[in-house]
Amino acid sequence: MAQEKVVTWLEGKILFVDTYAARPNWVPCKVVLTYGGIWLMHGSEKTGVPLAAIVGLGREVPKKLTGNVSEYLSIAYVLAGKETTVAITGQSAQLKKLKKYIMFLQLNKKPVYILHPAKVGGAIQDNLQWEQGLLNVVWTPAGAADKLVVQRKSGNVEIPMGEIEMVQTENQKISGKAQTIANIKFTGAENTYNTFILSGIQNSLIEYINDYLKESGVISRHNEGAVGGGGDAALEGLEDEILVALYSGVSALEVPTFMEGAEVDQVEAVYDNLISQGLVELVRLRKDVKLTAKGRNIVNKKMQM
Amino acid sequence: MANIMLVDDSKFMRALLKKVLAGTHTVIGEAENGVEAVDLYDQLSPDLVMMDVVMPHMDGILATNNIVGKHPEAKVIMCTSVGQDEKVKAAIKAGARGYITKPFQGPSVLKEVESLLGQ
Repeated sequence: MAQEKVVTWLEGKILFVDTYAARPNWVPCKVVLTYGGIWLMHGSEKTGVPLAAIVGLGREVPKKLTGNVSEYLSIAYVLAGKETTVAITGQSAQLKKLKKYIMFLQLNKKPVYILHPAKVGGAIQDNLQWEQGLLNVVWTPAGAADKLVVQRKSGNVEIPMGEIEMVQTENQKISGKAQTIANIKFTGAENTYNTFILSGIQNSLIEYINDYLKESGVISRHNEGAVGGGGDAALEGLEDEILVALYSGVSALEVPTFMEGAEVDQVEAVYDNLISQGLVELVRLRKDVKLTAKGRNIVNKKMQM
Repeated sequence: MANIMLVDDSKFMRALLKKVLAGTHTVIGEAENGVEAVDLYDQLSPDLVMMDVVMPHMDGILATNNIVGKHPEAKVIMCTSVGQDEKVKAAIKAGARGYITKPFQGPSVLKEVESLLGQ
């Protein structure tokens, strides 16, 4: 690993995952991330894993293989034709930081193919061509304006992380060849856009975006299905139908009459639930009134006039 | 104001499309599957059909193929879900002229409808 400048490091324990081990053997370790890869320093041994050798990041390891340890970062890598998985445990914040930095190094300044905008407002854009580009991962203070920027000859494509609604893999035929692409949906100035990206770092790109969506609370039980390509199955239930109706432009006040068989109280209970989950926000409270005896009396008098 | 036929096995999605189109266009018929859609098109001859892709008995692609086969002037917009791009391409081959992806936003639907009606 030629580039040895240290990016970040942590002290914790590591486990070389062994399916046949009688019990997990976590050993103290110093993990150092450099621009070239990862150094695992345990006991008198030092294992170097080049970034290019990493084939999986953050995969789940069966519980019986990790013992009681539930918070870890797994890294799968291939060296000399042999795939190894190592699990690293330590302080939660440090693990998250390590994972984020590894993904940054895997993604930043990497060549990609891009189709943009593949869809505008859900409508497929015809006559677009895949273009070559260079992916840039842009970090800003406190992550306020983090974005993905793809440099291409016809102009840069900027995808603000905070505007991404979902990402998922899709299988497509490109130039007659079956390819797996990343489909990123995000909100722009006037519409929603889908951008397709094809690269050799597909899994890392999707993992990076999904981690961001989880951190920012965008992924919840309501749209995990969409991220995974759940399709219509994800649209079951009153809550989901109400969300879709609101998305489509139906006024919140019209929803009770629009949703056949749904009572006003039932819909308002759903609103309360959606508010508590941060999926909708309260704009105003509607007033529901009925006539008092005094009011009825006035109406009666008016009708006699 | 055009006469539009809705084809979707989800009552909710049909109601949602009807709501979005209300005031701008008239929904003159609804079908729950491709078989019903083919029959209903023969009866109503709508200006435009909004067709779901995945439905029981006969899917939207085959239904579109049947309708356009009998009525080459038929205008069909496919209503697809995320990740159904391959099915959308199949629908184009079957004769569909436009697409919207669920979940959709009202203005995008109307824009696609107006665009197709203008052809």
